[in-house]
Amino acid sequence: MVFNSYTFIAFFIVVLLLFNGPFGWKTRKTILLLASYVFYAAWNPPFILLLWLSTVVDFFVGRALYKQTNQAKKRALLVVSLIGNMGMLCFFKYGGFLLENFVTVVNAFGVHYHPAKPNIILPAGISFYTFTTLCYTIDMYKKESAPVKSLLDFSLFVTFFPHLVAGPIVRPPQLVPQFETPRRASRQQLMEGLFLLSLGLFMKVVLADSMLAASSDAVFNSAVAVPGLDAWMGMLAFTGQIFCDFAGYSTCAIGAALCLGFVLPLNFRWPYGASGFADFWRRWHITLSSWLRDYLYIPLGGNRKGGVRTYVNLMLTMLLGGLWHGANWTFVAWGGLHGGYLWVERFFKVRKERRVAAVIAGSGAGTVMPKPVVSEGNFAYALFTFLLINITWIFFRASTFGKAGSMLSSMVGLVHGAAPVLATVAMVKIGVIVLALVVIHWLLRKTTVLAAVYRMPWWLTGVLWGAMIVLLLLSQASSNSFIYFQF
Amino acid sequence: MGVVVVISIGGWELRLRSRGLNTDYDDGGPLWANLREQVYQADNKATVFIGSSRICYDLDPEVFAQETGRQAIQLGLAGHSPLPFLRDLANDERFHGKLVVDVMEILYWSSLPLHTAESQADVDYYHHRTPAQWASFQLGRPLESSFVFLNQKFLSLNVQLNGLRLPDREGVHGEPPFPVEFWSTCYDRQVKMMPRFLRDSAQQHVVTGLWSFFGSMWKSPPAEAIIAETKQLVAKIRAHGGDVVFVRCPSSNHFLELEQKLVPREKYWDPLIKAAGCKGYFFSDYPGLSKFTPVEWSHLSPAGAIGFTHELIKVLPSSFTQSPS
Repeated sequence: MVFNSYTFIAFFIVVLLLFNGPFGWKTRKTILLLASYVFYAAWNPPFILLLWLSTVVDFFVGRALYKQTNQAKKRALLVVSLIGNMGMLCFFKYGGFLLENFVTVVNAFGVHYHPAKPNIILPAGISFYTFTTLCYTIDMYKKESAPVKSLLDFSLFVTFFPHLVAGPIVRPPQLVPQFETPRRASRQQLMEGLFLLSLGLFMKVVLADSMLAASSDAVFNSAVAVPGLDAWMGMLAFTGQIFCDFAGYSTCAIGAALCLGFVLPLNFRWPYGASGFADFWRRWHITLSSWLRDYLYIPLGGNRKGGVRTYVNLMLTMLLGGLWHGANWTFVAWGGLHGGYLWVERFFKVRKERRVAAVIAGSGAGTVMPKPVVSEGNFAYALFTFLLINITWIFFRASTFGKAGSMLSSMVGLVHGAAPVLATVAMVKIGVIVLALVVIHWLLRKTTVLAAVYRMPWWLTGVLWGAMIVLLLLSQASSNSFIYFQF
Repeated sequence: MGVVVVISIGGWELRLRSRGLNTDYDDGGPLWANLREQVYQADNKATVFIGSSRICYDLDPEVFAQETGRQAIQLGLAGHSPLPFLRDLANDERFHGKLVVDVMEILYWSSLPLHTAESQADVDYYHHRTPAQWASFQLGRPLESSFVFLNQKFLSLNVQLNGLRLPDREGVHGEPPFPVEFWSTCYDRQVKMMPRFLRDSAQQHVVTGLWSFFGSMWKSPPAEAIIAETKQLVAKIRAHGGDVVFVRCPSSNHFLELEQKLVPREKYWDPLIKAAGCKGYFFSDYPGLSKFTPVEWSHLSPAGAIGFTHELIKVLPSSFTQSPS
């Protein structure tokens, strides 16, 4: 079920009441686990079998990996787990994509092979829970944390409904210890959780679905080329929509967990206020970025194997990160562009560090440090970063390279006689929301939502919270799925 | 926070009620799917209706049920072609019921996504509906029947903002400004005009003005492909044990003139009925059906719908109207 639905409201009230009932800790955890299965089965009940399979296999393989001392057997166990997890992901998510590319390649060599298009339904959240279980297996292999003691705790770690289908992607040490000791949400946690839940729903329902989605869809789905103004506004609409949709989901997830007394890791920290692309990835989908860093970039060698390898590792990580988002070459291009930005940024950063080192070496200790080329608080650089991120979203949103090319052509004025699609009021909404997002992200870039709320007078918090709920009720957008569910 | 919410929402609700607005139901996929799942009843217990807005306004399901003892399952959709619905039922081997197809020629023969996308979306929603979506619909029903402000089509925040009507660039058309009183969807998916609309000729003029505006953009669609497809679809339904008839509901004035000019009966309706091999009821052929005057050239008032339903039952084949007993 989705957070923005009557079903979730009813479900969550029942879960809150039962979880806070007069039961033992094990019973309360069992209630939470069963509730999480209900939450997941409410989409497509048969797919719960996949979740169970993944949970049971990884629990026992993880434990065996931790205890196994024979390296060969250990590797074999790791391979079993990786094949299980990645095989499932590849089949459901990339099966059609792999077949399509295989057909393209063999056709290019003159082989006439045209199989029927596979009709594979993607299980909700498979990319997220696969990454959650994968990091456990790898941690067990590397003995980076102790195995989870009970199957109940491990099942709850994998299945805990707030993070199950669209993250934040949690690591065992972040969540498992919270299941080991009895807990109930304090009054403060409950209020903070409800506030975050309201904020997340406001971002998703009011801003993403109600105000921005239709404009973004109208431009990106237009059968004919659109004028430059529409292309720019459509791009900005998607920039706002993707943030409000995904960060909205994460905020709801963190809020729902907090209402139950559990703390999930932060997933967004004002990404449109980022100065630079490394900074952006420290602020956007933080749990995925850190997962890719720790389980892909660093094992590839990170920056420890020389300059060229660092650039290669960086690009590989971003390309695979792009592919994780969807089985389409446009996502790979999106990752590749971000990899390119990180390359350029790193090149200038390394050059600057060398110059600094040279100055220090030449002048001796105590020399005044040269001013950085770009400081982290540089608003102009933040705007430049924002501009490039915007343009890169085109590859993320466009279904084909042709559509992305058409959008870019429109934006630079190479299209003539195009048909406008956006009404003036739609463009005003986009302008106001995106401007507000950029300003808020810039001003709050060094703090968190809750810290900012605590700095406000109580009456202002009450009015803003009330206004969010009023707008939420008035928006009445249908229970649309979150964009990241498809990943 | 609670004070802000109660005062704002309460005030808005009172204001809407003081305008004479009714509660209604969001006519989206969930409501359509709720009726779509009921088409598998024994074929003497229900009659299924598909079409565009006219059948939604002109048929009163309650009257139909009272008079025939059968449920009238309203699957029509305002502003859209019923062909995706016909395809869906024809391709569903479990459907063997009686089907009445309302034909509004401009929409029936349209292949524009504007006229087919939403009907197809309803079909897709039904086939991919999750248990959570079903539960949300059931939970939302008491709320929708209690609060006027829960009217997504006319009163949602986005629609209110779009109503600001800022000047648009040439070639950009916003949502047509239908008055909210023109359109109230019941739980059985009958669409009714509200009393104020029936009293207010200015509002009726707004709607007739919109018909004239749309009419100026309509063109004669190609007839043959849709007729051939309809023939195949009807044959499929009959092969499952079902049956189909076609109905042409009343229209008048400039709207009717426009239809006679762009989609003349002899080129569209008559060949369709002949090819499908079905019975067809064109309103002007039946004194009982032609005695009703649409309020705004195209749709009947709730009172007119009661009378029209009585008359329609009289002309439909007995297998479409006979009581289960």
